[in-house]
Amino acid sequence: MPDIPLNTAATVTLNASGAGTVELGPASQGPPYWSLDTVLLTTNRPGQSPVPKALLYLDVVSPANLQGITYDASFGQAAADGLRLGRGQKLIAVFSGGQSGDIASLTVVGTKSTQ
Amino acid sequence: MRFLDSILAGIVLNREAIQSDNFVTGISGWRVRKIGDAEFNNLTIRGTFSGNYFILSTDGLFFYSALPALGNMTGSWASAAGIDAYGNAYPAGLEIYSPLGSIALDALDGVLHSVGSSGDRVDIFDGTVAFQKSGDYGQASIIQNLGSDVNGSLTLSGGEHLISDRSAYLAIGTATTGNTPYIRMARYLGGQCDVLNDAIDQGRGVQAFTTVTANVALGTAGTEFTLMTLPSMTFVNGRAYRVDLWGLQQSTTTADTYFLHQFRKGTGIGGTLYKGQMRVRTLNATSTNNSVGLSFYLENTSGADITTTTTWTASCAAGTGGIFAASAGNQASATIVDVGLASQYSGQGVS
Repeated sequence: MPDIPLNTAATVTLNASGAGTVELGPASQGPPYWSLDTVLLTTNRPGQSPVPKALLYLDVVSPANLQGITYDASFGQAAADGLRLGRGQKLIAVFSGGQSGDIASLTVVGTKSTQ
Repeated sequence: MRFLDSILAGIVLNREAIQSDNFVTGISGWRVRKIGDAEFNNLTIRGTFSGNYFILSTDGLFFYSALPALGNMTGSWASAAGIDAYGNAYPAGLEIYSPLGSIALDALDGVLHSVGSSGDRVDIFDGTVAFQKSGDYGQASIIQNLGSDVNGSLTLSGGEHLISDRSAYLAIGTATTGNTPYIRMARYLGGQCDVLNDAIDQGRGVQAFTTVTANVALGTAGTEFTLMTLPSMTFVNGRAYRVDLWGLQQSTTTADTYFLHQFRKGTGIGGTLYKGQMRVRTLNATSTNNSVGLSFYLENTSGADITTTTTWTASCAAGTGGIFAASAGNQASATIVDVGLASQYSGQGVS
C-alpha cells in the first residue's frame, strides 16, 4: 500500500493564562505510522503581542521527551526530519505566554504508512 | 526538530532583549529590552524626540506639565519663535512660563551668567544680582539683603529708565539732541513725591513764585497797598511752607520810619492775614533804597487742603512818599516753598 500524504491539525483555545496544550498522533483506525516532515505552529494573531512560546514533546510532557522549542508559536515552522510516530504515540505542543482566548494550532505534514 | 526560531514574531521581539555582544550595562554596547527599556552607547536622532512631557526636535526643546496640549507648555528653548503642534506659541530663546516655572540656583554655588560679546556680564547668585563691566567685577552690585553695597556705576543708554514700585517712580532721562538729561520723581497718578533723608521730609520745592519789576507807590500813610500777588497754589494739609519775600523800599520823606509788611490769603488787602506785624525800618534819608528780606514759615494743620492765591502788602508809617521800588534790573520777588511735614516745623497756621 503506497504512502498516504499526511496533513492534519488540531487547535486549542488558550486559557486565562495564555496557555494551552494540543496533541496529534495516528488514529486508532487507518495507517498506523506517521512520518513527519514539517511541524507548524500558528495562532489566529500571528506576530502580535503577546506571542506565545511552545515546547514540543513526544508522547508525554517530560524533559526527556522534548523534541523542539520555539519562541514564536504564532507563526513557526520546524523541520521534523522524518520523526516517526506509531499508533498510540502522539506529538504534544504546549503553548504558554500567549493571549487568553487566542486559538493556537499544531499542524503536522508528512506521510502515513502501514509499515 | 529544528525551528527557524527567529528572534522576531513578525515585528514582535520574542526574546527578553536583544543586545550587542559587548553589552555591559553602563559601559559598552547596546541593548533593547522587550519591556521597553533600551541602552545605547551613542544615539543620533535626526527628527523629533518625544517623551511623555517633552519634545526635542529641530525646532527646539519643549516641556509640558502633562501630555502636550494647548496651554500646558511649561518651558521652551528655541532658536526662533513659533507655534508647536498643539497651538502653544513660544518665543525665540529660553522661556519658562509663569506660574509654573522658575530657575532655581543653589544658595551658594548656583550662578546664572549673562555674558555679552563686550565681556560685560550679569551674574545672579546667592540672592545677588551683580553687574560686571569689562572684567572689573563688582562695578555694580545689588544684594538682596540689608547691609547691601552698591559700588561703581550702572550705565543705561537710550530713552527714559525707571525705578518703580508701581505707585511712584524715579526716572532717569537720557539726553537726546536738544534735550537736557534729567532725574524725575513722580507718581503714576500724578502729584509730587516726598524726598526723605532718613525719616526727615526734605520738602517738595517751590509751589508759588512771582516777581515785580516796577515801583509800587504807597501813597497814603497807614493805607495798605498790594505789592504783589502770587499764583494760586495748594497748601496741603500736614505740610509746612517757607515764604521768602525780598524787595526794596524807600520814602521821599524822612518822616517815614518804617513800612508795615503783611502777607495775606487771596488777592488784595482784604484776605485773611497769614503773617502780619512785619515792620521794616526805612533809612533816615529820602529816596534811598533799603532792602527788605523777610522769611517765615506757614503750615497747614487745618485738616484739609487749601487752594488759594496769596498777596504781599505793605503800608508806610507816615507821609505820602513811600515807594516799594523795583525794576527789571532789580526785581522784587515772593516765593513759597514746601519744606516738609508740618510736624517738623512750628509755623503759623493757615486757614
